[in-house]
Amino acid sequence: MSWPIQDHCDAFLTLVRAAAGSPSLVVYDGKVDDGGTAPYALVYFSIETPDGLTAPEWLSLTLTSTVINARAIVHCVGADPEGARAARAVAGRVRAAVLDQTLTVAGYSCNPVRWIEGQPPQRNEEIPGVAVFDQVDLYGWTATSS
Amino acid sequence: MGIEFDTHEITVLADAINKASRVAPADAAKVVFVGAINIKKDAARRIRGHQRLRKLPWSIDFDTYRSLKGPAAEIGPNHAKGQGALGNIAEYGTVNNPPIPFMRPAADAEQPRFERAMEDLAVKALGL
Repeated sequence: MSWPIQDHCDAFLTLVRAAAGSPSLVVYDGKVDDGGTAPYALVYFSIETPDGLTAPEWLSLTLTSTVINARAIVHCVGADPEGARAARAVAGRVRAAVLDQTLTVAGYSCNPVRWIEGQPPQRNEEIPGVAVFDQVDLYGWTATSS
Repeated sequence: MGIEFDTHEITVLADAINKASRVAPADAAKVVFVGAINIKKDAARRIRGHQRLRKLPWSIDFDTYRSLKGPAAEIGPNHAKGQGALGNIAEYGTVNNPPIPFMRPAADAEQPRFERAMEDLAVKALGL
């Protein structure tokens, strides 16, 4: 059975994992594996289903909740010796892989993935020792069940 | 034999736009103000109840100002208030902590209401 939210997340992750370049981009879904080291991309998802009160024009005449408003918060992480440059490199690969791409999700018509906002590389103080930099990019798309 | 154009409808419309432009900025500023309050309240509701971020909902603040494009508002955690500097950590998460988006979803939820209010204002100002 297909689960729409999971299908959207999987479709986005597939795009990121197919990012061009060598070696393959390491991509985590919601949690970095134990012992995982930079560079990598960590993706968190935020999915909302607007109701008829907030966005009546987004619903069909039958008032069924047909729209998914998806956000992918991508942490692009790089470490010394290149530091912020390594984080930007990951961010560049992710951007090239997902920006303006249209996800293929069964039963849904998706708008292209857009960049919404982000933060420049910042030193992650949670990780002791080697300097780790984290650039955040927020991508989003809307989808309507067809 | 010349051609005559009846332009009175254009003149009436131009007059309506001219009159509307006098009152619109003040009314638009009110709509922006209400929208900012709605986003602030909704964002606080979304982040409330988090054990480690008890003060963050109370740090959400907003400023209204007149930009080159018209009335505008800047809404978000105030760094001068308790835990206000943690707003981006909650919104985007970190590599060790998942995010709790609260500002962006609140803005997204307000957007259609804000657009409707501005449409209503335009219709009212133009006397349509």
